[in-house]
Amino acid sequence: MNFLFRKKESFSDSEIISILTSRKKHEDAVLRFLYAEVQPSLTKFILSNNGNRDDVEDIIQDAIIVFYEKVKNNQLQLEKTVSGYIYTVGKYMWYNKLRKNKKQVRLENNDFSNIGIDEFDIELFHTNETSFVKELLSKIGKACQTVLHQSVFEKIAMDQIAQLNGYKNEQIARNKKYRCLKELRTVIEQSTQYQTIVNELCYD
Amino acid sequence: MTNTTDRHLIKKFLRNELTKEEKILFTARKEDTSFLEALENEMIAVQSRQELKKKLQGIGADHKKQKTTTPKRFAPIGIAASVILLLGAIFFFNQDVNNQELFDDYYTSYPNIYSQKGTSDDDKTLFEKTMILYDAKQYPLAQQNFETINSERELTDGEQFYYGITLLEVNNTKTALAQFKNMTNTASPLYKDAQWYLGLCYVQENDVDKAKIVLTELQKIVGKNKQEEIKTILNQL
Repeated sequence: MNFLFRKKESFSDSEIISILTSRKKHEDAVLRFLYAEVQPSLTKFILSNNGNRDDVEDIIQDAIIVFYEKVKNNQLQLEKTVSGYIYTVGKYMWYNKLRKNKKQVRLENNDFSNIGIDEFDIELFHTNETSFVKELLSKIGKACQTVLHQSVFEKIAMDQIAQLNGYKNEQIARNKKYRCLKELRTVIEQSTQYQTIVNELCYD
Repeated sequence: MTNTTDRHLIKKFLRNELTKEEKILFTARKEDTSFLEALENEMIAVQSRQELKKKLQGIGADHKKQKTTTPKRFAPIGIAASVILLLGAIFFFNQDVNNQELFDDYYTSYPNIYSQKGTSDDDKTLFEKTMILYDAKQYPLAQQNFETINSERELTDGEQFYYGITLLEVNNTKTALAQFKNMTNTASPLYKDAQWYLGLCYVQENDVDKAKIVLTELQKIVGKNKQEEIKTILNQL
C-alpha cells in the first residue's frame, strides 16, 4: 500500500477546463491530475521512440503548459479528451525534437494545425528567447513582473490582483499594470536586439 | 488574438531569427499598438511559462517519489519503534493531504437563489449588490460587502450562508466555519446546506471527529442521494 497520496485526484474534462478558467485554488490539484493522467502514455511513446526518462519529463511538462495556456486564452480546440490533446501535443513536440536532432526525418503526420497549435508551441522553450526575455523583464522589477504575469498569463481579475498584491483598490492595480507595460515597452525599444533591426534598416 | 504573421514576427524577433525580409515587416509593424501589445504579452508569457515549468517539475518529482515510495524500503531496518514513529508521521501528514483532497472533491460554490428585481443600481440593497458580485465570482469584493453589512446589523440566515460560501472561496475556512456553525435554526430552508458546508469546513480543517459528528447528523435528515455521498465521505475520513 502506498501511504502517500492514497486517494487519486480525479477531474472530468469539463471540470479541468472550468477550474483552469475560473477556480484558481484548485489549479495545482488539476495539474497533478493531468501529470498523472498523461504520464503513462507519453512515457511509453517517448521511450519507444529513442527517448529517455528525462525527455519524458520535459515533454510532459511542456505539453501541459501548451494545454494550460490554450485554456487560459480561450483558444483550446478540443477534438478528443483533455489527456488525448496533451498526448498529441507531446507527440508532436517529441517528433520535432527528433527531427532537430536528425534522429528521425519522416513524420507520420505533421499537421498539428488541426489541434490549433503552431511551430512555436511545438518548440515551447528556446534558449535565445528565454535569455532575452529574462534580461529585459529583470529591468522592470519583480513587482511589475508579478502584476503582468497575473493579469496577462493567469487572467486574474484586476480586483483580485489588487487584493493579492496589497493594493488599496482595483484602480491602483490597473494604474500599476499600465505603468509596468509602459516600462516594458521602453525596455524593448532600448534593447540591442530591437535597436539593431531599426539601425540596420536605416543604413541600408 | 494575434494574427499568424504578427505571431511569427514576434516569435522570430524574440528568438533573434528574423530574416532580412522579416526585419522589414517587423519595422513596419512596430508602430502598430496592437502589435506592440502582442509583443509585450508574448514576452510575459515566455517568462510565465518558465514559472509554470518549475511548478510542473516539482509535480513530476513528487509523482516519481510517489511511485517509488513503498513500505519494502523500510523492511530491513527492523527497528520497530522507528517504523512506528515514521508511519505515525506519514499518517498525520497523509491525513492533511487527503482531507484537503476530499474537500476539493466535494466542494462547489452554492448557486445564488435570490433573484434580482428589475430595479436600478441605486435602489438595490447592499445585499442585492453583493449577490451580483457573488454571481460574478468577485468574492473578495463580496466579502467586503458582507463585512460592511455585518458591522451594521445582524446577518440574516441567507446573508450568513452566502457570506460563509464567499469566505470559503477566498480560502478563509475558519471564519466560514463560524458562519455555518451559527446557523442553528433547523427551520431555515438553508439549514441542511449550511450543515453540509460546516461538515466540509471541518474536513478541510482536519477536525475529523467534528466532521463525522456533523455529517452523521446530516445523513439522518437528507435524501437518499445525499446520504450516499455523505456515506462515501465518512468512509474516507
